[in-house]
Amino acid sequence: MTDRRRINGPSEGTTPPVFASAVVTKPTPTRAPDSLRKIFLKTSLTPPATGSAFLELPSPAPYPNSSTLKITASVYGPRPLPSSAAFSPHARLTAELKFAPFSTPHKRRGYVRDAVERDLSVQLQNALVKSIKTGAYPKSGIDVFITVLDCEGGLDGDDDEGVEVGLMGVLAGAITCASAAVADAGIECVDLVSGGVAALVKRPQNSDAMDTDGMNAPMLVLDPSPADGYQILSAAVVGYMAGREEVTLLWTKGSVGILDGEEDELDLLMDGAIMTATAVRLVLNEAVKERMLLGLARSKGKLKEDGGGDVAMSS
Amino acid sequence: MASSTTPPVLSFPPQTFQKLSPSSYLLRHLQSTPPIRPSGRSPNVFREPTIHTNSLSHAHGSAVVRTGDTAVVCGVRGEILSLTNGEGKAKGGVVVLRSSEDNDEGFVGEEDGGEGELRARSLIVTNLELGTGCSRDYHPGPPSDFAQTTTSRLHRLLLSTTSLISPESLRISDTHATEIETKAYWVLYIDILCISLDGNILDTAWASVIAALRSTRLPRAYWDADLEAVVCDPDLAKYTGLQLGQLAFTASFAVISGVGDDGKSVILSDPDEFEESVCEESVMVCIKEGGKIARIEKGGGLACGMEGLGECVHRARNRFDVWERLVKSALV
Repeated sequence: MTDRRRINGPSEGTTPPVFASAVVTKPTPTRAPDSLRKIFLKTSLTPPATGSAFLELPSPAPYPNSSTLKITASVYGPRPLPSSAAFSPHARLTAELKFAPFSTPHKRRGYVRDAVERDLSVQLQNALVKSIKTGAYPKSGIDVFITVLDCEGGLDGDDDEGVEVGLMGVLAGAITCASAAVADAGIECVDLVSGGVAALVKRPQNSDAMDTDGMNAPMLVLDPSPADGYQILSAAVVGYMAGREEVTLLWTKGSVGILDGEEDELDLLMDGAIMTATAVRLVLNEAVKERMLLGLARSKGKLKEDGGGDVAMSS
Repeated sequence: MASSTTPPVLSFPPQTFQKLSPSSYLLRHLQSTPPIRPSGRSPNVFREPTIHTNSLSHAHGSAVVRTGDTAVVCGVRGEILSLTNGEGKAKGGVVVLRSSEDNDEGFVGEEDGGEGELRARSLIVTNLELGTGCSRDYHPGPPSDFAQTTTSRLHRLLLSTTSLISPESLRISDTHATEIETKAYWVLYIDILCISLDGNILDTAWASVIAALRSTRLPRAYWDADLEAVVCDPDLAKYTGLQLGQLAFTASFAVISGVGDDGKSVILSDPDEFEESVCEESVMVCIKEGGKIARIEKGGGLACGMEGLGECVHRARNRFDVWERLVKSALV
């Protein structure tokens, strides 16, 4: 089916380049399992929007030009719902997540929203809605638009080699970025939401862990990336409101063993993901604080200007 | 009850005035001496652009261009169109033209600078996406009329006006055969995403296309007779850039009439969203290297005469120099 409203490629279809004898070497993890990557987060980069934010997460791989996660979020609202919409005492939040056509490895993505994007949109909406004081904005709509410009890969299905965490990283980044954009828009919130990912991975063979009985037990990795090269057994992403200590979203992948005591894998995963989200929250706080100080400085400057105008008029 | 005192003068803050009567708001600004636009620019001043290239990891070439509050990301991605399935091998076969624009251009063959070949095989796929939350007027989903027209203008600029890309650079041939035969083509998908929209999307998007194409590096592709398929060399050192024609840049203007008492018109360079919504008449000039005029588009009114067009061309030539310097410094 061709999209008549866009310019389409050859009807015969095209294939992404196939490389000759590309030696695929799985990278070996280079960073400590509990080390987190540096996040770049900045608000107000889309001036026409009520609020916006941009998030960038570098790849842990040591070689240059490696892939990064780049996400933009813009928020519009609260704005009145169309008159045809039924009465709603709460604000209606919609989140739309879209991958750019050039954001993913191998195959170019189409413009029509696919099932993955729809799924991530709904999860993002669920993660955000609990943090917003929707009761303060009756009969209005808040729209959150997320565009993934670049991602780290790891989006394909899971296989025997382990589960892929690419989508989880995208979702966690989108939650953090969207929450910053909502705060930038000046929408009343009860707390900020940050996203965090953790994974249980197969312990590398050359691990220098000394305890022999722990050799077979999976190892917890915070903020895993598809570029790390771990064989991931299970992973979890949370949307976490650190101020209220509430989890707004939990999504796990892979087989998670539920055991008694300290061995409970679900507990381990969730604690790890919450630990990541708490650390991400610090970055989120800084970005929002920066924006607030800028806003304060601007309003002060405006007051001064107005005052100057008054003096000029009275003279 | 009649009163002798004059009625109180109604006064609004500027923002309210702008909303209530946008056109007189703009006119009052331009009537002041010296004429100044609501954004603080003079009528002939363009916004200062910035360009960053190759910031995306999965595209073969990319550019981020920002002019004022308008920001776009352009990614170029090459994919392979194989001709081995029988299609296109027979010379003189029936060629079905796809794009609706082809009606006036037609498939002429080699004489037209390769445009027919590019069009007939859809080797260049340009798309502009505005549904990214870049402005409150555009929503995700099917492209709006404005997005479609801007896309087709960009596509036309790329294929007919500037002939920037030659089909030779996209052909993949069997080099071992006695007779060189094109086995496949590179298809360039040029996707432009608008991140933030504040007027004059065409100039910014076009500059991003130019910068992204100049930054594009495709792997060396060759025909493997054993596999009967096109295979690429993973060696990064063998990636090559595209052979591009002469640079060309666009400059857009909005024209507003009735500024002076004599109905004088004013040409606004690089209009922002508010000015675009007020002014009905618009002019676009595309300038090629050496100051040559590649295309002029004008419509929406009669206020801008020959003299005005001359002024537009003059400003567009100056703007070309700014873009050229910027693109060349971004891609050393």
